[in-house]
Order: sequence, then structure tokens, then C-alpha cells
Amino acid sequence: MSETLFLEDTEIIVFRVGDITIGLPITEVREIFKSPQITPVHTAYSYVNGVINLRGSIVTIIDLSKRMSLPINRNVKAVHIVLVEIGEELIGLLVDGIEDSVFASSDDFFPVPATVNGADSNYFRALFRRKEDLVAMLDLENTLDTEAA
Amino acid sequence: MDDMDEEVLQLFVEESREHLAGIEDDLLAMEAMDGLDEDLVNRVFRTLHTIKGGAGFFDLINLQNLAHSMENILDLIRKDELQTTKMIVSSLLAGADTVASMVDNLEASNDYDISEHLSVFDGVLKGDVAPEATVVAPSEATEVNEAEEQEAPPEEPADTEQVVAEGVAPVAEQEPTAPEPAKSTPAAPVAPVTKAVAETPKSATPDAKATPAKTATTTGDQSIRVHLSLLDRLMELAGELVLTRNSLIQSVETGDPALLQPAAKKVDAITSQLQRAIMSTRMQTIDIVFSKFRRIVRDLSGQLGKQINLEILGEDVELDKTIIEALGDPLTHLVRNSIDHGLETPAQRKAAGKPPFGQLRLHAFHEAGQVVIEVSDNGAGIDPKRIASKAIEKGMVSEEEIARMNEKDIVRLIFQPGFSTAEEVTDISGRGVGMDVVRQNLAKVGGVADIESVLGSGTTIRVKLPLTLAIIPSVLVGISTENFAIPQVNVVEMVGIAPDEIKTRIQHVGGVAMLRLRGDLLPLIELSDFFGITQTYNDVDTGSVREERRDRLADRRENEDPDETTNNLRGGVERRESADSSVNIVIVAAGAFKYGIRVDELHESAEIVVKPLGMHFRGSNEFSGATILGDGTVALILDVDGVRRLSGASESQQTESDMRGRDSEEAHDVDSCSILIIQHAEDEVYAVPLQLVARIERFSTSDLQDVGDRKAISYRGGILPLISLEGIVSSQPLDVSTNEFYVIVYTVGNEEIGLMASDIRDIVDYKDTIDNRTHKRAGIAGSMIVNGEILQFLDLYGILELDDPEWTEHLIGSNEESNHTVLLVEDSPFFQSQMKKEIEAAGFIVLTADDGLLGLEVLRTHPEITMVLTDIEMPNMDGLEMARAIRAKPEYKDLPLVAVTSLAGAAAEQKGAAAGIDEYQIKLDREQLVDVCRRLSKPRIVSA
Repeated sequence: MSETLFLEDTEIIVFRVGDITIGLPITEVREIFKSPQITPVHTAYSYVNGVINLRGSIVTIIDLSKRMSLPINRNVKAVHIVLVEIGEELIGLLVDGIEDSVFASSDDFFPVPATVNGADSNYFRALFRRKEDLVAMLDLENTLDTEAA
Repeated sequence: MDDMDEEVLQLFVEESREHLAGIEDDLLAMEAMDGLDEDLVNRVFRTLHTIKGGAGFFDLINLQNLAHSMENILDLIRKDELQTTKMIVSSLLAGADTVASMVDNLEASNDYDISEHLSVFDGVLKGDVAPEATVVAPSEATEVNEAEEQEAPPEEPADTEQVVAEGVAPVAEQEPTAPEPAKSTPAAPVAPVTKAVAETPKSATPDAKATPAKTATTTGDQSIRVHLSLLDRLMELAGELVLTRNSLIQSVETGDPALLQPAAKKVDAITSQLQRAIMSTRMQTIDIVFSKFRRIVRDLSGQLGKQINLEILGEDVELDKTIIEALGDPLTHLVRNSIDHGLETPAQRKAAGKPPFGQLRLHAFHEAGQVVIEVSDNGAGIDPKRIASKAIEKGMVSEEEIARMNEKDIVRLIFQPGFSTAEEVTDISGRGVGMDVVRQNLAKVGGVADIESVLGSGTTIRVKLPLTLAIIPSVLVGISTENFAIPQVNVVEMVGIAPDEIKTRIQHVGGVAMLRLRGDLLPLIELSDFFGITQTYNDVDTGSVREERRDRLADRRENEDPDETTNNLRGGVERRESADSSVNIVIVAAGAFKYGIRVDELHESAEIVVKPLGMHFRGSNEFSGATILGDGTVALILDVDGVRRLSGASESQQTESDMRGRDSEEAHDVDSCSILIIQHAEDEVYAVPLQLVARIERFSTSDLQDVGDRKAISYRGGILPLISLEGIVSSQPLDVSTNEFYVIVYTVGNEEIGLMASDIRDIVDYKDTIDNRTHKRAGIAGSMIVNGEILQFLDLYGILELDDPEWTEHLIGSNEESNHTVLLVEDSPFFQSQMKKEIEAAGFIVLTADDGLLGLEVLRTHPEITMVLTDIEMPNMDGLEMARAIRAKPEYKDLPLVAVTSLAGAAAEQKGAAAGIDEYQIKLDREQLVDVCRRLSKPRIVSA
């Protein structure tokens, strides 16, 4: 379903989750901020880190490393929250570091292989070639889907 | 119509809706009016006249014609040339419904077939006092009533009197009870809601002068109308806030602490006032919901040929708009149920000796910070037997489960999903989606429904609702490093336990912590165990910690490995309890079930603003939301019912059964029995049948007194004689190293006796056979294995006899019943010998048989038998079968037949009664057993 979504040239926010370099179109990112104090919460999803107070709203924080079952190896100081909106809800993605924002032309995207550095391809829509390395374009819907385990 | 000025059209729609909102009540009032109430009729006339005018302006011919012909009727009534009859009001109501529907679907309004309406009205005009049949059938009108929640579009031309509510109908989520509309919804220009909140109740029509809240909903879901004075108040407060802000900024800039304090205080005060004022804008009177029932009741009762008196009380009770809106459907359902199933026809009522008019009451009132709405009728009530058989038939519960339930619980089954009591689908109360939908819809707004029904005299359904959803008074608590809010409504009390009391007040029964509180034992929940607070989240590297903890909890519940889990818990709790500080416990109630939550810190009570949680919390029932505390951190709001379910604590009310509930899946084994496990000394543990225990008390050794050569204790204003197992069945003295001991109080004859124990270990449901050979000796009835440990089963009467034979005889009384012979049919040797002994002790001669067949044989050969006690579950022939066989013989038709079971229940008793059993008794309840023997056993007149 994927590459078609990137028919147009897109500006991409690039961040790191474990060993994977992940991108999201800048239009899908609402905010990026340093991780504030997270209130841990017990939910049915082990990858939910907790909730934060974002200017009066309660925002769920998803740990992308845990979500993708990646080994966790993080520098606490580099941890950021990438705020995205899905449905009506704001969700914070806990990422291990913010790298860059790059401009991508539609030619630079190509399909996702079965796994991306150990993470299931389901979480991604496309790969994007950034000079020497590859950036995996996050599939927000699949990643935040509460149905799939 | 395309060229129509959209804005003007909208204005027309809004105005018409506003007018129509009151027309139904007015028409109903006209029906009831005594003589001519000119104001009333004028009001209706004006409404129709205005609509007619507008419709003419917009070329809405159908609407214009219909309004016009209705107006003509009203004109006649107004001039007192036409008498209002039920039939006329019915046709006017039907017409008003169609008008309202047209207003909602203006574009399609010219497609409505209004010829039937018109001919009815013409007939009326011509003085043709039409028989009831020519009225555009009220029956169909009510049917379509159901459609009103669905905002149904016009149906086939034949059913013209399409009823779409006057916009009063709140949220549409009605189950599909209505006949499916034949056409799909036309793209109706549904009027957007009024924009201006500030819009003053305008226009001089009496309708608009009615309570602002009442008209508010007519504008739709997303806007609300607020009284101007309230808005003024808000403005005033906002102005004050601005002034205070200025002075606050000023004082911060100048750094003058003397100014800072008053400013802060003022901000505090204004904020709370502001909050209250804003909250009150959301409050609406329940009248909005209640008022529509007048029409529903009128129409439905007419359709069903029932006479119903609707009584509405407390219509000025206010609730949050969200709740009011969510109430419409469930209440409609309840009212329909009452009319359809509850209340009988006049003939039936007469036959039952009731007045022909059925009473239906809607009553809203405040109770304990909540709003209660009662829907009650004095109809036929609900037959628990029918509910039970239906539930069994649908596979919702097993017969055994029913047998253990009391009637009230059986009636509550109607709230279970998929349950519908209607034998046949009726138009009025749905087709299979019944009370569970009601319950769910209410639960969405924090409401709880309960039902009470007395067969033959009526049903009451109580709905408890919070006043508002947005702000709830809560207690803030700290557990580990986290803060939680517990809604005040759930908090029963807060208990602090001093360090030196912890050991005695908090006990671990089978791996579950229990709090002793004024004679009750309440389960104590460690939230950190469930939420893995410190363990899970401080360490980001552990992926599935939560899962692991859950498994362990499950283990603990199932008691698979009691040693390990108990140690775990003890280790945990003792670590927490070892500190010098006292332990704080919040006692909460989830429905009728109470339990304690141990907290580390009790913070203040606060009004918290509820914030919704995201989609990842949908599966977690333990939180109902979150709130933001003063310091900006987040606190989760506990859902005490969800936490209870998570913890696996049982819902049953009795404290003993709370503990027993843990292995309730198997509890329907008929021969199970609840035993209390007590400790006499280290390594000496005994079991006592719980049914014999009246109470358990705790005393200090200093309370002990010597009365003669017997230990005793002052208790409840008397002296409680005590016995110790020492020297009777034990060689060891009672372990009183804690300087405290327990007393198991039981009754012998009319006296209470206390058995001393050093500790209470557990209460378990024991299902295996009790070995009555290996360890049997005086005072010990047998032995059993619980959790790998051999327990000696105490014979409570035996030990008393050993201790003091004379006294025992004195207590039990003389053997005056020696001419009575009781046949005891029981397959379990243990219960057989236990009961035999108990009944013999009361002076009866006891014959025994091991099953029903043998029982019949013994009965045949022993004509002197004066009564039969029988178990139900037995091999070869069970007790019911035997009972039937006995009753089949005429010579035994008066023989008292008593069933003894471990678990009685209404359903079982009914089955028993059908088989000829006179009474049910609980096994091992000696008092009852002897009592029933004394009462029922009669010497038989043996015919010569």
C-alpha cells in the first residue's frame, strides 16, 4: 500500500530507535520535545511507557523500541518524544534520538524488505535512501494499532 | 428550493423546532383540560400558524397544508365549537409528529404523504366525529415512536404519520427495535445547532419562556443554551480574574510578598467559583428526559389496552448534559419494558385484585452525592423462575449456578448480555437486545443499574448516576512513587494501622492479605503488585515484566504453590510493614463489595478534572481516566471495580465467602463444605466446619478470667465460657506467645461456647472426602488434606463432651424425643456419622441408609420412622428421586421430608419442593438440624 503515499516530494524528520533510522513526514509530526517526566501506567500493552501532561492533555507515550521488540540501548539524555496525531488522539513516540530533517523526492522511496534491522516490516511504509544510509518510513497506523499484538 | 437563502431557512428550522418542542406537552395538556384553556390552545395554534407561514414562504406546500388543517381544528377548539376528545388529540399528536419530521427533513417534506392526516382533519372539521379507527392509527404512531431516536426518514406513503421527535430525543443509539424505514435517509438539511450560546431566550412565545434548559436540547447535541444570568455571572468572574491577575503580576514584579498572598488567595477563590459556574452551564434538568415519557406512556398504553398512570417526581433534578443525553435511550427502554411486560391489562389487574390503573413512576432524587433515578411499576413483577429457566436455556448459567443463587441475583441476570425476557418479540420492547444494552449505555456515563422485583406486586429499577462526569471529588493517594486518585464515591473510609497492630490486623490467608476491620475480614490489595510500579517501570530494559507479575498473581490466586507465593507476599508485605510507620489503608466499595487498598501516603481530597486516556487504555479496566495535579504531574484515577476484577477478589458480599470465592469454579460440588483452619500450637492445625461458627473474636490474654475451674471471658455483656484443645485432643498448651488469641464462638443448645485458638489460618472450600477413619478419635471427627497439610477435623460437640460431659448434657437437653425415629439417607460416611451423632445427641433414634434405594428399603421395613433427612446427590438413587418415590405412596404423604445439602439455593429448593421435599437444611448446621427434627418429626399414627 505504501510507496504510493510518497508520490510527492516530502520533508522528513529522521530519528533513531535502537539501531534503526526512522523517518516520518514532517506533516505527520506535531511536535518534538525532550522527554518530560513520564508517569508510568499499567496497561495491556507492555510498550506503553506511561502518560505525560502536555499542556493539560493526557498523552500516552509509546516506546518505539519496545513496540518493535528491539534491544534497548539508549542514552537517556538523547531521548525525545515525537508527538503524532492519530484519529483524534495525540500520542507521543519515545525515540532514542533526533537526527535530522531531510528533503526527499518521490524517487528516493522503495519497498520495505521483510525486516528492517530486526524490526518487522509491518511497522514501515517504505524505505528512503538518504545518501549512504537508509531511513525506514514509519507506518503510524500499524505501529499504533492496538489490535495487533 | 435551491435558490433559497440557506440562512433564513435555517432560522426557520430552528424556530420551528423550538416551537414544536412544547407542542406535545401542550396537546397532552389539552386532552386533560377541563373546559377550555384558551392560553393553551392559543399557544398550539400560534405554533402551527408560525410554521404554516414559514412553510408558505419557502414553498413547502405539504408542510403548509398540514399545519393549516391542524390550525383549523385548533381554531374550532379555540372558539369552543369543537370539544377536544382523545381521538382529536391523537390525530393532532400524530400530525405534530409529522410536522416535526418534515421540519427535520425539509427537502423531503413535499414527498410526505399527508393525505390521511388531511382526511382525518377534514372529517373532524365536518363534524364527523370519527370513530377511533379513522384516526391515523395511534398504534402505528407509537411504533414509529421507536424510530424517533433514529431520526427515521419518511416511510412508505401508507405510514404517513412518521414520527420524528420534536428534537427532544437525545443521542441516537437506540437498538434497532423500530421497523426498518423503507427509504434511506434523504440528504436532509439537518439544521446545524445554534451557534450562539449567548442567545437569549427570545421571542414572546410562551415556549421560549419556559426553562432555558428545557429548550436547550432542542437545538441538538453539540450546543447548549445557557441562561443569560449565568453568562453574566461568568463574565463577572472572568473580569474579576483579570483584575486579580493584574495584581498578581504586579506583586510578582515588585516582589512584595505582602501583596502576593492575598492575590493568590483571590485567584484560588475565583477559580473555584468560575469552575462551579462553568459546571453549572453543563447542568440540565432531568425533565428533558422525563417529559417525553408522558407521550410514550399515553401512546403505548393505548396501543396495549392498558390503563397507566404516570407519575413523575423530581423532574427538576439536575445532571450533566452528557449524562442527560445518554439517559434517554436506557430510560425509554426501561419505561417500555414496564409498560409492555410489567404492567398488566385492566382485566388482569382486576383478577389479581389490583386497581385497574397501573402505576408507573419515574422518580429522580439525590442520594449520597449521586443522582438516583427509579423506574417503578406496580405490575406483575418478574418471575425468577422464568428468568432462571431462560438463562439456563440460553446457556448463560448452569443449573447448579442457579441453584446457588438467591432470587434477587436471578432477577439480575436480565442485565446479562443476550438476555431478553420477552417470550415473543414485540414492537414495544425490542427483540433480544434488552437490559444489557441499558446497563452498558448507563455504564458509559458512570451509571449503575439494579433491579428489584416482587412477583405479583411490581418492579423497581434503580439507576445511580454521577452528577457530572467532568469533575469528581477524589482522594489522592501515593503508592510507591506514583500518585493515584480514588473517586470519593468509592471511598468508604480510611484506616490507619499503628505499627504494633499490623501483625494482628493484617493477616495472610492462603496467600491473600486480609484486613481485619471491626469483625470483618476484607481483602487487602497491593496496587504495586498489580501495576508493577517500582519494579517494572524504573527499569526500561525489561520488556515483559508486567506479564510475569501477572502470572505470579494468577498463581497466587489459584494457590498452586502456596508456600512460594505466600512467602513472596509475606516477604513483600513485611518489608513494607517492618517500618516504624503505620500502614494506611483506603477502604473502597465496588458495588456491595468492599476491599482495602494499601497506600503509602494519603494526600488531600481534591476535586479533580477528569481527562480521558488514550486508546491504549481501552483494554485496561483499572483506570477510569487521569487527572493533572497541582504540580503538573499526572495521577491516574482508579476504577475500583476494575481493580477488584484484576485482583480476582470475589464479588460475593460475605467476608467468609470472599475468601472462599477463590476456588469457586468448582464450588458447585454439592458435598463441599467450608472449613475454618485454626492453629492451636505450632505444627498443630485443626479444621472446624465454618457453618457452625457464629463469630470469630480476638482477645488479649489479660482478658482471661477464671470462672470455677473453667476459663471464660467477658463478652458482650456476659460471660463466654472457653474451652481449650489442650488436654482434650492436644497435648500442647495453646500458643499465646503474642499475648493474644482467637475465640471461635459457636452455640450449643442456647449457650455460646468459645474455642480458643492461637491463630486463624484460612477459610477454604473443601471438596474432597473427609477421611473419617485414620484419625478418628474422641473429639476428632476425621482428617483432611488441605494444601498438602493434614488437618484434623474437630468435632465441636465432641470436644465439649470430653471437656465436661455433664455440662454438655445440660446444654443439649434431655432425651425426651426418644419415641422419634429419623431416617438419615446420606452417602458420605463422614457427613452421615456427623449428622447421626448430632441428631442422636438431641435424643432421636437415627437409622441410616447410604443411598436412595437403601433409604426406601429402610423406610419400608421400619414403619416407626417419623421423618426422613436426605442428601440430594447420591449414587444409585438421588434424594429427589427418592422423595418422589416416597411421596408416590399414600401412606407417606405426610411424612416430613427434609433435604440436607451443603449449598441450598432458591432454584434447588423449588426443585426439591416439586419432588415433595418439605424443607432444606444445611449440612452440619447442628442447631438447624436439631430444630427441624424437633419441629417436623411427629409420631406416626400407625394404623392397626
